[in-house]
Amino acid sequence: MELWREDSHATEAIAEGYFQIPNESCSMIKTMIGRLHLRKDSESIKRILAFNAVCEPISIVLEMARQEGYDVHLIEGVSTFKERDKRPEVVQFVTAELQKVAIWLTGKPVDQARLSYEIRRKNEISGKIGQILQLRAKSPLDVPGFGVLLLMLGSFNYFGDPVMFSALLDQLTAELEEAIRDPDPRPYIPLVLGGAFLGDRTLYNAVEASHGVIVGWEFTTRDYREDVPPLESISHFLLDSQLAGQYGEMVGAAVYLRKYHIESLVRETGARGVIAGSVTGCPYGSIVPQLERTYFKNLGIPYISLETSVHQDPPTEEQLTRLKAFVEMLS
Amino acid sequence: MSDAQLLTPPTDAESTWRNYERKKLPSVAKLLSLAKSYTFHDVEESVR
Repeated sequence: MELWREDSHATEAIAEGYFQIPNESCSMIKTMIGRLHLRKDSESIKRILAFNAVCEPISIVLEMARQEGYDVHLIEGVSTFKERDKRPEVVQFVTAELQKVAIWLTGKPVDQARLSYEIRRKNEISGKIGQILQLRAKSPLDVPGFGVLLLMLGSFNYFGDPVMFSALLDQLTAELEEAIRDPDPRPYIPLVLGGAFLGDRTLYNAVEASHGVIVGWEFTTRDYREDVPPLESISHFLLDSQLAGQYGEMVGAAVYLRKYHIESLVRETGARGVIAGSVTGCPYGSIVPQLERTYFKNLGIPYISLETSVHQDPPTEEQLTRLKAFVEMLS
Repeated sequence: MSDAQLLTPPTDAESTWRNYERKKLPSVAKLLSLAKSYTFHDVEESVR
């Protein structure tokens, strides 16, 4: 994400001009290679760890980065479509791939105690976010959709400060407990979001300006198992997330399984419709909504897909009009 | 404000919804600020 947060138009121009990547290609791909090219002579970060099971354009970016002098390590991906695909040897394979990462990074096997500690901390944070989402369900307008997205992003990296992030979650929990005693009375249209809107946050605000509230998210928190060795726990997490359609991939198992996860979110939350976000120009992201649209149409669940770029640009009038018309249709 | 909004004055219900006074949660603003302040440059600095 940081590769495209700043100066994304400039880095995209480098991709189109220097690397001759066609204009209509995915903005995420273009800004990634442009940014990596700009900072290839930086002394600080010269290594790229990539977990990319599926996206061919990102594989090309990584190869180009390798040619530009980066040390790139790829984790071999595995896709589980059915429970029976999660065989012990598959778990072992992913675990071995993760062990290779530790050796690539430090020259020695992973520090099991440290990783167990991090898994416990991650579960603790996920539990706090889960509690916040339950409280938010009682007065959802108190935490805007973009705020929820940040909570989930923060669960990945704690914004660099796990202690501060954890304290912030405690504060938000306390404030929400207070707020729901006198919930926001305004009516709203509950929605589920598949994928995410990248780039500018305004599209999240536009959902709320249209009286919609995202009450269900494809990216949800999930606990890591603490009853198995820590590297194996990560393998289970990965494979279980794939099987639950929560993994966020645009190919492989997600194409088949995401719709079931979204459908269950609709049932759980009472959402009246589904918005699917994807990146303009993504060859995979453009197919998933096409497949899901038919599925949800057959279920009688209204569905709209909105493509966005990674640029921090305000939404186009077309995006806003489609979004508002969709939410108004559900009211 | 877009042209469409200028041409279509809000209805009473819409206006009431939009202007409803609700105390904002301080921690939400803090979250936005924390996320904004965390950048690639910080990570680069920390490993320099």
